[in-house]
Amino acid sequence: MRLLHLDWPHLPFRIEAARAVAAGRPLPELVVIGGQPWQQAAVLDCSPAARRLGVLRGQPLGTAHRLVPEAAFLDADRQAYRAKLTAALEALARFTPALEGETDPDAAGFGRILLGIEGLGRLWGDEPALIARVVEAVRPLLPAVPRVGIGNTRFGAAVAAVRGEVVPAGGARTEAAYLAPLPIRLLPAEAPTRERLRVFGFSTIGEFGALSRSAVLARFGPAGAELHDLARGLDGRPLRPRRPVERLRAEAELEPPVEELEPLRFVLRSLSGALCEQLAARGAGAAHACLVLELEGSSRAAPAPIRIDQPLPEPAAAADLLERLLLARLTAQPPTAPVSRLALELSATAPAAGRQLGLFAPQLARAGQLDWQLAALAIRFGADRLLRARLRDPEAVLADQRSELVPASDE
Amino acid sequence: MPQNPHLSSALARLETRWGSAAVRLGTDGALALAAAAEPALSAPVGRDQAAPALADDIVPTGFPRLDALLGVGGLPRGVSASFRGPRSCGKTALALHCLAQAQARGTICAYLDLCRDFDPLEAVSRGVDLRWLLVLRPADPAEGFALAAALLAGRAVDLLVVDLPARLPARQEAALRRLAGHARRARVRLIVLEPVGLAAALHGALAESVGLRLELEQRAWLRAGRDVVGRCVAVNVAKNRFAPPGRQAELEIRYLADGEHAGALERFAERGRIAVAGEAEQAPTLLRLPA
Repeated sequence: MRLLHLDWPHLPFRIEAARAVAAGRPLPELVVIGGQPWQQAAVLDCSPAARRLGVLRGQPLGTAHRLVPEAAFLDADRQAYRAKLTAALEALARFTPALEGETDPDAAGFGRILLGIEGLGRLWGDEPALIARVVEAVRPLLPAVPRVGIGNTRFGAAVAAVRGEVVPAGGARTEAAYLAPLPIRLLPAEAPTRERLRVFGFSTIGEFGALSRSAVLARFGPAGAELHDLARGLDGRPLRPRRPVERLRAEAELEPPVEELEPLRFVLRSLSGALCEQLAARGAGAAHACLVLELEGSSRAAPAPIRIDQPLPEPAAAADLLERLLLARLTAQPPTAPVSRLALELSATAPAAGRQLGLFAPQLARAGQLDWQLAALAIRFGADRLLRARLRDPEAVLADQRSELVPASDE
Repeated sequence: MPQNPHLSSALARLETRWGSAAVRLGTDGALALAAAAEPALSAPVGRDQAAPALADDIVPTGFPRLDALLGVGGLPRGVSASFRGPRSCGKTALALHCLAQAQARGTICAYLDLCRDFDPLEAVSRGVDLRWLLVLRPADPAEGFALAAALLAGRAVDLLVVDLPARLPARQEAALRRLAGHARRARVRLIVLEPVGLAAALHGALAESVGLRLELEQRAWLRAGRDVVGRCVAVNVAKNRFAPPGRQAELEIRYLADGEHAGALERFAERGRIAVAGEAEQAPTLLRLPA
């Protein structure tokens, strides 16, 4: 197995730094990302300078504030971080479907991407050429150049990325030979284990790997045995390719361009019908729709396309409901020029689950219909017109604090 | 039916004022006027009055005495009703009881809050399930009627309560009529809370559009010891499509089931037990004082 490892250390910090530079207000040296010190949250990331002063990922923000009170504390924009890495994954998906990457900013593996590159030589060239192509593909999408390395196992590829090298192709023996002269601190050991390794006098991975496995197991336990396997080039963790984001897209060219809503409605109906048929055939539903209208204009000053993002109340494959909702959006925001192209994309697909009928709440059977109607009415009249009441504290002294009204479409 | 134009006109006026069941065809072919006030509250509906809806489609008001007056045991599907009375006479409480009864039968309800004084706590205390209640708070009455009409057209709700402000502009008459028409077509129950000071045009529009009109008037306070715990409300059925109008009933509407009034009731009950030591089974009585 040949694996290409891409690593962007401190990715949230780098994204924030790039944003700040673009806005003309560079970040200070000490930055902690995750929220404000008084909030009950943990550190998501920090700048390398803050890291040197003891700030760690996952640390409470109050603790981080005691360590670096002068640091700038930023709120985490998790959605933006996720979107950036997802875009990079999609760009890399054209090289190979064997692609693994964690897009949750709170996960430990966020900022690392693994590509299975076995047998890609004929398609993309040799490994150095492939590295160059991969780096070129993600350079415009994420700030900073990633650390890249190729290995035969996950651990070998990660170490190679840290060192910016390529491990020679081969089996465990080749991997072990590559790792042997490297410092033992590269092993992913816990702090106590790392300290014990230092006390025992091990300085390289090879020295640790030369021990017998039974002796390591007796002295360091199962965790030590796993480290021993890594040192010997035996990393059994497989590559777990991500499930590609399922997107359904249909578009129609309008010749001549159309200005009125009624003809657009027919096109919209045919597009949503075609997509919903595909969804229904898969037994799935979509929870998000995106409609893009390209407007006609002179070649120099063509108006910007209109993009309508519409979350759906529930994953659905109902063409008429989808059409009604999008038409309500179009009515509220009519195109300013004739429409020359119309594209509809459905995303956030999920398996269509059967609806649970309410045994004790018969209203549940119609809750879906109500949600769709509320979504359409919220577009037409505004979400703050249709409310649901909720009790907060019936014993509160002030009448205002006893209950609240919240937009019905938010629930 | 009679061909005499004068008689037709008179009948039409009577029906507009008192409802279609006010004038009935007697057994010998003669026209008979229904009694204006019937002393027997639980008088059964006569055989000659065809039941307008199935029993499953009836939502009771939560007050059996009133249900008995209505002829069909409550509010049938598709009926529009108006509850008219001065402030604090029990219109909202009666409407909330209807909401609770409708929700108990598996319906989803909506409340068009044009007065902007809907109190969720009181609704809950009257038995309303807030999960299945939509509260509509429009920017102005015109938007409110448009919103309510759109909601009714979708047929996702089964009962709509419209709380009209006393200063509703008279130009909303057409919107009010349209809403009643929408409710009839969508077979949605519509309850309009009509304050006494409503413009004459609006009052007239409501009187013509609705199939059931109740006039409420406070008669007495209910007191437990020194605490006021409720009120007696006289309900007059001014118009009824399903039974003879003109009947009257008296309802006891208690205040919130919890909070200080419940506490007052408990205190009263406690004192009652202490005062009649040795006769602990004697229930404390509520006093009725004229309003």
